[in-house]
Amino acid sequence: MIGSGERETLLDPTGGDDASADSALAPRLRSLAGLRVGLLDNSKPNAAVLLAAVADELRGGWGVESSMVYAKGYFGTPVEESQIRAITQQCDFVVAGIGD
Amino acid sequence: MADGILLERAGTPTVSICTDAFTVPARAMAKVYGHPDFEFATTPHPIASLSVPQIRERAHELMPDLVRILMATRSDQRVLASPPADPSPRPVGGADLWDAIEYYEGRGWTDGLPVVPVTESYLRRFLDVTDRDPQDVVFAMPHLNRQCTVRIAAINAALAGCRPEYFPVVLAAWASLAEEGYANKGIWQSTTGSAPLLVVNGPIREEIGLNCRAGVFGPGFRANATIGRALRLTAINCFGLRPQQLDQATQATPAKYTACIGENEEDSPWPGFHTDHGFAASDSTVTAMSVRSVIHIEARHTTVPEQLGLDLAGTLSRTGSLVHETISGCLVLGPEHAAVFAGAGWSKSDVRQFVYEHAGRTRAELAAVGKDAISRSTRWRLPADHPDAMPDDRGNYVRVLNSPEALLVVVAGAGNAGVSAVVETFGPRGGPPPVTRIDTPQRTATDGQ
Repeated sequence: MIGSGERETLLDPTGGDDASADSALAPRLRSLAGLRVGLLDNSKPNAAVLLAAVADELRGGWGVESSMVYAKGYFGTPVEESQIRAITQQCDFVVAGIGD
Repeated sequence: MADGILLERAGTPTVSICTDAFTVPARAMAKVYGHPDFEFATTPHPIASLSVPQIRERAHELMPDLVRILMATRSDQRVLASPPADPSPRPVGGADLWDAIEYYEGRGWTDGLPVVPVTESYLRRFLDVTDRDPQDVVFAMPHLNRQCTVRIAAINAALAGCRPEYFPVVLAAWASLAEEGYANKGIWQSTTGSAPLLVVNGPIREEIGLNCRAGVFGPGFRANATIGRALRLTAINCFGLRPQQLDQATQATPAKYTACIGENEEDSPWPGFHTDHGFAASDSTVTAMSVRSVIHIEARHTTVPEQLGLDLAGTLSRTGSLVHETISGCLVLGPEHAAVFAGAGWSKSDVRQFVYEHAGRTRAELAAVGKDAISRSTRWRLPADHPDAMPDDRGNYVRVLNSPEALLVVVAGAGNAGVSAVVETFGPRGGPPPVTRIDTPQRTATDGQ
């Protein structure tokens, strides 16, 4: 590069930009009444307590019918494919969280 | 955030909750997943220390937002197209050197220090020292949708200031990290703020001038400084792990700039670390560890191995590092300390066994700091009266190591004082360390004959 007499392009160290989303997100809900909520617990301290409280609120105030808890194996990595399949089959919407 | 987007992609409306301390990394994660405007709910940080009634209050306060996000028409349905890799690549000549450095700085492609500008002809020198294909993947982080190829690892090694002959060490370091298994599970994003530490053994230390003697953790040696830095720049540039964004470290550690040491095999009374794990002394290897901290031990006062062993055990068993049920570590013994043990006839295994037996806390000491029980779900330490707590079943004297094998021993530094270091690591809490052979082109050629 320097002193070679030729002019060269500086290289990009990123290996490309963020992956584009390969699918659209889910449609929004018109009402929560009668629906089944999935609670995705990332296993950090107090996550389960907060999600249980949210579920109580959803049942009491918004007519949500039932709730089911799903625990992640490890909070540092995303929810696994098999768990996504189970959740989408058993639930109409999800509240995910949380910790720290 | 990734969970929310993955569930949404599968067709299930999802709202993610995070504490407000994590708003920036949450947005960064959403961007990585292609939905920079993905909405989520926040509650004031922290929640980990709240009581159940306080948590219930938080849940109540969250409800309007949760429901709005689940039901509202939103603007983030659009899908991001992949932007061009770099909108303004620019030519450079000798007079452009300082501009080139600013070019990288201006794009955030740095750890804060100036980098070495890299062009295709300079990159070729790095690719020439390996037989691997430039498009081979050296490390993947599936949860970030990113992977690093030989080519990108080389560009970042060059940026970091490596000489081409260091590059085989960098490649072996990525392989070792992959085997170690923590970085590809997200630990580099963690609030803990850990960093990779590389330990190099074998002839390559002399061949590339990698320091293993005085000042081994310090500055002054290009190979040590830049091999470690090559990993950091790759983390920042390729995996997007920028501080205050996807790298959420609360304080981080100086080791995040660079942490690469050689073992001082020549001044060690014992066989090299790599030979303990099945390699020949003539092999060159690198071993990656995920480290939280490097703690200084100064013990010039004794030549009694038991006293020195207890000093090391006392540091290893500090309660501040006892986040999980147990810990793991690596003793980096200065040659004088190694000689104290070896002079009394102790092998490395004897040192490990002694420290294992004496690194512990009484139940009362753990109770005093609220770490006398463990979480049912995560096995993190908790006060016994926490709703999620269960006993650790470790009796009244709790050893902090699961086994002698959870403690590694290497020798590094100068034989000029009774100084050593305790390196606090993330696992393996007893499994074999990821000692990885460094393949140079000659070796590969020889193997292929």
